[in-house]
Amino acid sequence: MSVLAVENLSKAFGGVQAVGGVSFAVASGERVALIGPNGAGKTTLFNCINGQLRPDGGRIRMSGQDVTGKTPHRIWRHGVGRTFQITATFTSMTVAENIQVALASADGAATGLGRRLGTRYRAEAEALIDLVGLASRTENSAAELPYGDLKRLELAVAMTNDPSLLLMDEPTAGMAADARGGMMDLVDVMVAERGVAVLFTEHDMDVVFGHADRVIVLDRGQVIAEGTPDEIRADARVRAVYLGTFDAQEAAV
Amino acid sequence: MSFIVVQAITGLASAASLFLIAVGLSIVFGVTRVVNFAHGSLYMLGAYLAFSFVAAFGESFLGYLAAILLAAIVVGGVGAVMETSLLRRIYRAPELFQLLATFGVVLVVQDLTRLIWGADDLFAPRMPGLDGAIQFLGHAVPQYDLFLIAVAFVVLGALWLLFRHTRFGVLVRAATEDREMVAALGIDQRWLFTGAFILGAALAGLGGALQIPRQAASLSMDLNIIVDAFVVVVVGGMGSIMGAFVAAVLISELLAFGVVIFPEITLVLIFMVMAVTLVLKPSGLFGRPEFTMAEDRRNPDPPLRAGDGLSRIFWWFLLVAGVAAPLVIGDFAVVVLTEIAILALFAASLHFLLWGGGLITFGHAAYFGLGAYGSGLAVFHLSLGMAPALLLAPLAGAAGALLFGWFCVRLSGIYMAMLTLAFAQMAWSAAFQWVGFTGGDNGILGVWPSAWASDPVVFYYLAFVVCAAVIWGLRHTVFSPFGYTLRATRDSALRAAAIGVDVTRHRWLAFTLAGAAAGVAGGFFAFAKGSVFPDVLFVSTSVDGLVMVLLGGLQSLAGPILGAIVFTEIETELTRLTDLWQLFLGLLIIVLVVVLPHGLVGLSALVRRRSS
Repeated sequence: MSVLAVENLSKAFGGVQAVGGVSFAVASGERVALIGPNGAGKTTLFNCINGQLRPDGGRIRMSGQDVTGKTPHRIWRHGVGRTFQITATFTSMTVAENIQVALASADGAATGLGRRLGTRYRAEAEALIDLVGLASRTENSAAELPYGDLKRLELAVAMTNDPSLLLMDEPTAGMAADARGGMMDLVDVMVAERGVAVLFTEHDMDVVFGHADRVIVLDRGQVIAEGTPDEIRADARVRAVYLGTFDAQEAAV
Repeated sequence: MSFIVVQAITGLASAASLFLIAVGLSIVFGVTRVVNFAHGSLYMLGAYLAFSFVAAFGESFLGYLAAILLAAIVVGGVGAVMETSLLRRIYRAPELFQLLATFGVVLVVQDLTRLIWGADDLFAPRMPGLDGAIQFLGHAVPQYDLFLIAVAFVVLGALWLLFRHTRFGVLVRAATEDREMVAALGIDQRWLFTGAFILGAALAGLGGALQIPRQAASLSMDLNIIVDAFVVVVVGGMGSIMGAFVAAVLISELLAFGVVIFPEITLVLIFMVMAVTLVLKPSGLFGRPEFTMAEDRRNPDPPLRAGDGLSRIFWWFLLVAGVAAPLVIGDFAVVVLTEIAILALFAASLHFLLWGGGLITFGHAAYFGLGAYGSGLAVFHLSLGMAPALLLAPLAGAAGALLFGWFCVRLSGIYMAMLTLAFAQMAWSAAFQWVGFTGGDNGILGVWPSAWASDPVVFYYLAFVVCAAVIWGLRHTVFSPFGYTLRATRDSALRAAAIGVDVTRHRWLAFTLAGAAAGVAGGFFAFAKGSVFPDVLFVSTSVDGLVMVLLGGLQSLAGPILGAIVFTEIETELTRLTDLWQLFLGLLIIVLVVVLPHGLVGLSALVRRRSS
């Protein structure tokens, strides 16, 4: 069964059909990149899947269960971890506390008034911190982390509910070019060690072709191509949409 | 049928002045993003000035008209002074600080007005030439009402022309829609802001001046009108002129007919209109969703460390001092100390929401007052003893917070602040108007402690122990998973939702919890005073709480306690020396916001940094 199945999804803003009848699926442990030129409908599609927008039509299923129109915090209960294009972390907390709060929520203890958070979930949190390579930052405030580390922290937070699907909006946006590979290698580790599937949007084509098993190309709210990175690279329509950008990329490779 | 028409005309006449003030508030907000609490003061000033001008040269129709217009112009000038001297300094401050600073102006203007014109209501003569009534299907319709309606339409038309066909108007609209863009185009924003503020102030002044033939100029008109105006702009949509117009008509007509049909529930009607609007369209009828920068916290708080050396010493010192004090101080001081213990709890419960949850509430008095009334009414109507009456207090506070909070947590930032205030003022009006149940302005008397606690020292210890325990409970909650999660929703609601937190529900629970804690304080307050008056629900009580929190320092758990101590001491001493307490408090607030935004705790950090 697919971890995520999007069926004939559509969403319009006023008269603009941002997403018009998109269908695709993500299998367990698969890494899928969602690409397309600006205004193609990537963000809208993404926000429908993560619950921030309610689609006008179509269905979204996660592991077989219909989650269409559910709010973000309910989508999370279906085993979805999220990272944002601009990192969203709890800036008044330490790295460890950021993860502990998320673990408490995963444990159903978010409204607990009893024992202090203090050292609860500490061991689990440290394991995740180790996994993303932030061990030396455990006691730092999230507010003082460099941007690359914030991205790593977000990834660790997104892993707290042991998700079956990671939704990553531009996972390397804002990072220096040489740090992007490291970030995506980390994502690959999550896939390999924890069996999580990844759906991500991305502008950097090196990242897309280096770290996606499959690529879905959107243009004007429609899927215009879908296939392995090699197939997409060779696709004439994709070339047409990306003309210029693509040739330059290939010339560079 | 004819009665309905006449009543509708009365409603429209009230809508006229409500529109004038609400549209000014809305224009100023649109351009500067500041909700000007002192807008009601400008309205009041307009009324008082018009009264004096009419007395000087208002014998004829034209003289009267000139008096009204001159009052509006002078108030516009006052607005210019206010914008350039104060508002300009707080455009970048958090919403809470802006509301508080402009409330400081309310207090200052009130005392100054009292100094100049006296405390008594001032009745102006009717407007010559418009002092009669015309007969309409057997009913008398005051000519002046028709005049007011005409003025409102003239102003609406003039504003429409201004905003469509002048450079200034186009810039104001542009700034309302996209401030950064206007700034990027190289427009001198200072000129634009001042201009918009003068326009808004003059409209408020005009609204107030136009009122004097209908109602006396009084010192309570500022806060009365501002709450109605808040309701109008929240319902109509902030920054929208049409919204202000439609909502002013809607609310005024509702009041005009409500008073005739079911006078007891007019408040409930307004409450429902506001509630339904906000649930269906949180940005108001004509408003657009506000893009908030809530995720962007430029000055993030440092992580919370439980009981480091200094703060541990502070808490232990408080505890020891609280226990030992009655042994060394006199009877009057014990009474003051009791009040401090109670207000410290009130401030701590407010701080829990403000700092712990980033929830800007400007109506925390509602839950404090409900606690006080819960206890007082239990004694008065049910003849309950002190202990069961005190147990009812947190229930009353929590019930109010549960009801009001459900709506409030659906909004954020300034909208939330205005809604919390509006709810609190409604609770106040209800207590004021429902004389049969609450005693109205006469209050509830004879709420005395049981015999065993009637000695001030015994009562002090009781209040101290319970308040300290609840404060400790709130402090513990901040460190519990609930408190961390609440702070998480403050730091980033987006991220909190993405880790499975139902942000709205969590905030609602926090609201209720804080309401219960404030209720406890209110219950003790009732027994400490032996009476309950509507004042406990009034906006000034909410502001006292905010000043305590701010005075102590928002970013520290000890802040509200320290603030309650210092504030109560200052108030006790000063009210003995002078009757200009409001003037002083107003200036204190302005200084706090502009000079000392981190409060006394921040001051000590500042001094430490300077000296090292």
